[in-house]
Amino acid sequence: MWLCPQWVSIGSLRLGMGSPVHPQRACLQREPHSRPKGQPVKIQVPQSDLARGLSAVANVVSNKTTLPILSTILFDAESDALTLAATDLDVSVVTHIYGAETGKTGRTAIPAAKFVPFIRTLGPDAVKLQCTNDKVKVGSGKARFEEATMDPANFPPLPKLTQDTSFEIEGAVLADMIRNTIYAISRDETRPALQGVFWELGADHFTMVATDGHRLTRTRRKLDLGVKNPRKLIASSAGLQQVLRLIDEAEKVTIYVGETQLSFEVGNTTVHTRLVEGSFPNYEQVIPKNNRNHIVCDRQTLADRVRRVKISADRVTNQIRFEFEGSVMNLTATGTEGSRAEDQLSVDYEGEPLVIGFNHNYVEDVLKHLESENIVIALDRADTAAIFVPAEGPIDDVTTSDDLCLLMPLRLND
Amino acid sequence: MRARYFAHVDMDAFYASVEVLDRPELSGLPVAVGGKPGERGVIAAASYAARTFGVHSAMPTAQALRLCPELILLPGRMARYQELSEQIMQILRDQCPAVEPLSLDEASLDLSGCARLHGVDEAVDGGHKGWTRFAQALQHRIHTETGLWASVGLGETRRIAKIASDHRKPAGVVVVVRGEGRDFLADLPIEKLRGVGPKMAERLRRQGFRRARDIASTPRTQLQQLFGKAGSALLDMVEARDLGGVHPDRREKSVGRETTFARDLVGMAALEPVLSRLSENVARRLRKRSLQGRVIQLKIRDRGFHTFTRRHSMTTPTDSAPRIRDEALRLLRAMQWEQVPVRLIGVTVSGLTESRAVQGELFATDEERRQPGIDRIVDAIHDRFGSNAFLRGRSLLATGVDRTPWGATLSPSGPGSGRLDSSERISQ
Repeated sequence: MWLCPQWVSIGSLRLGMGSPVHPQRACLQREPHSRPKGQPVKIQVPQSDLARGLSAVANVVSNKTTLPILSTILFDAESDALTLAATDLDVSVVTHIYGAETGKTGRTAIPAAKFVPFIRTLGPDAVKLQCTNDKVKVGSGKARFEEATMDPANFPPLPKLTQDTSFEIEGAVLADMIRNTIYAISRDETRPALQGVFWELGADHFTMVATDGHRLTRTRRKLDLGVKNPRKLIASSAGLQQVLRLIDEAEKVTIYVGETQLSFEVGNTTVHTRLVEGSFPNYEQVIPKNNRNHIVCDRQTLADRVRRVKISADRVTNQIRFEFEGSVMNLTATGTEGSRAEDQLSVDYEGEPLVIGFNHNYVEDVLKHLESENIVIALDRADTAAIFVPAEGPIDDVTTSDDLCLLMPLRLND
Repeated sequence: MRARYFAHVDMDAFYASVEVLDRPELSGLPVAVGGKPGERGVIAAASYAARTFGVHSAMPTAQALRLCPELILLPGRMARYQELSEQIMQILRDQCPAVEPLSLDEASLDLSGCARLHGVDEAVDGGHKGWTRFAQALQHRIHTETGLWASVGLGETRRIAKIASDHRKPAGVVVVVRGEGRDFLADLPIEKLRGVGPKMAERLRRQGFRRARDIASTPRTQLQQLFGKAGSALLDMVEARDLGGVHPDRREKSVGRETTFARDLVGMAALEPVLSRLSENVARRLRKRSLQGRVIQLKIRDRGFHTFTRRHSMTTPTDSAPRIRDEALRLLRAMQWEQVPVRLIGVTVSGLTESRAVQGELFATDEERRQPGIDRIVDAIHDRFGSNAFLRGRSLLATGVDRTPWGATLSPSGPGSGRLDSSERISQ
């Protein structure tokens, strides 16, 4: 009866926390109490292959979990391949190693905390793994390592690939789109829909949108993905982070869109994540259509000015005041302790003099992710959202730009 | 610098005096207003006759009855106290435009620049005689118009004024003119100093400090060594350096409000209206001070006096009650205390800024858009008619509409009714 009594009590306590019971967690709870019965496994793997496989999966392993089995990596040795898997119940990563020699097929669950660092430090000699029913023995050259294993039967069932909708996309394009949106997601746990990235999969385009309620970013690529039924969904940011980590920009990624699940096949590795439930706000409605005033400026120069002036900004609101008049953009920050900083840069602007406040963190995020040399800031008034787009795009109607960032101003009350 | 003057007006045994006023037959008898002993009641006010037995406010009623078995214990009549309080505040407002009511029976008056208005010549004995005449006239007017006695203190700072009002209670008038603050404080027994409770007093006495002057004559470094930060703060206090908020380095770090229940409350239905009211109060005080805060903290104490705090940092600061309440409720729900009896609950906002900049919302609901306007109107109503003139529906108690003022003793409506009988503390 080793882990069971304690495990069940922790498990049920967590289950009582008011949040809806996670389907996988619920299924874990129903697992019968059982003695560990890891199967005898015998395999030999090149160190570099094993280390790569572990790096792919180890990132989702948590040491702080209340379910001990989630701190392990599942090893499934079959005659043609060794499969490694790890999960935190929201994101699962599965990878295959084909260069392994399997002596005895079987499954085991090895705690990651010491095993992974140990394997990483090993030299190029092949790594021999030998499991009895409750222990793994590792040998490589003269180096030896032993660790107690857990019962692989307790490992959550791994998601299967769903074939409803699937398409291929260039790794570089996907990585770019994820990077351009994921920074703008909400950290507010009370708005789960905003903690993910919204996807629109159309017949000829792929759009990603992220917002935290104060700023919004949209990135759109005209791609023929061969998607028959247009879909809208919210992808979990934790899953996208894993994909971003694993992407090889030169290779293609296959994406499988299921009813409740999203899977990414990246080389030998697959990332499964649940779709975020809830509805994403109607983002198109908040992109202002009338933007009378257009300011064109050098992106890097503006970023430098913001970095300088923000030093004096209020630490709670992060406010910088932007004044546009003629060909000058003036930036001012005033802190509560009497600190004040100011600088300016020249811009192309022909509209009325305008004063607007922004959170400098938001401005810096935008400037980091719009990759053009010059940018356009389009806005109507000091209390409506401002649009930031690359100057290479259509300047007449900025709202049609493929890369678009929207910032709600800080209302200036001084 | 122009002389600043503050008056502190404190009604003597207010609730008890009102009861005696309305029932003259009680005159001279030990009278107290408070909760019932079986219901963890505390004394809200005790007449001076009762005080000779050692009964004082905030004492558990059970203990008061042990000290004085013939104590006449009366339930509070808030409506009546409020009526008289309003009358008194009106008298004060007649004297001076800057009246800050601190509670029903206490107010602080900013008299700075009003000397000539009240016929005080500060060239003659620092204005001592003139201000004394003013304070006596004020006290007299309150007594003739309401039949109640007030103690009045005057001083260069709000704290000195408050201490002065307490110095010769009841019906005392103490004026500490400019330059006298140091001597006045120097003669005070340490127990009378603000911030010195029984424990600190005991520590001070053990080290040989009896009067404030003992502190004044001790080097700061030594006080710091003996009592840490508190030692340095005491010296500031004694040297009358503390100018009640005009020092820029005395910026507030948090604004909070908490309440202790007469009987432990259990469950969200009982706690939610309380949190709602606390949030309203904290939000209003933030707005009054032109502050916004980003960190919401919930404090909760169980019946075993175990205190728990939970905090959450929001991405943007706020001074709006619904946001503070929603965060506090979320923290409370996350604690899973549905079944746990709660003795005390409090809400504090920190991470404050004086910046009034407000981050715009992309997807604001109409209600959110209207909130600042609603807040302004509600604040105006509260300033004019008191904090109970207007309450959010969610702030009403689950057990029924109850408009008894916050912080007051309510007439109990049967055991376990979940009603409040709260004492409150302001933490800043």
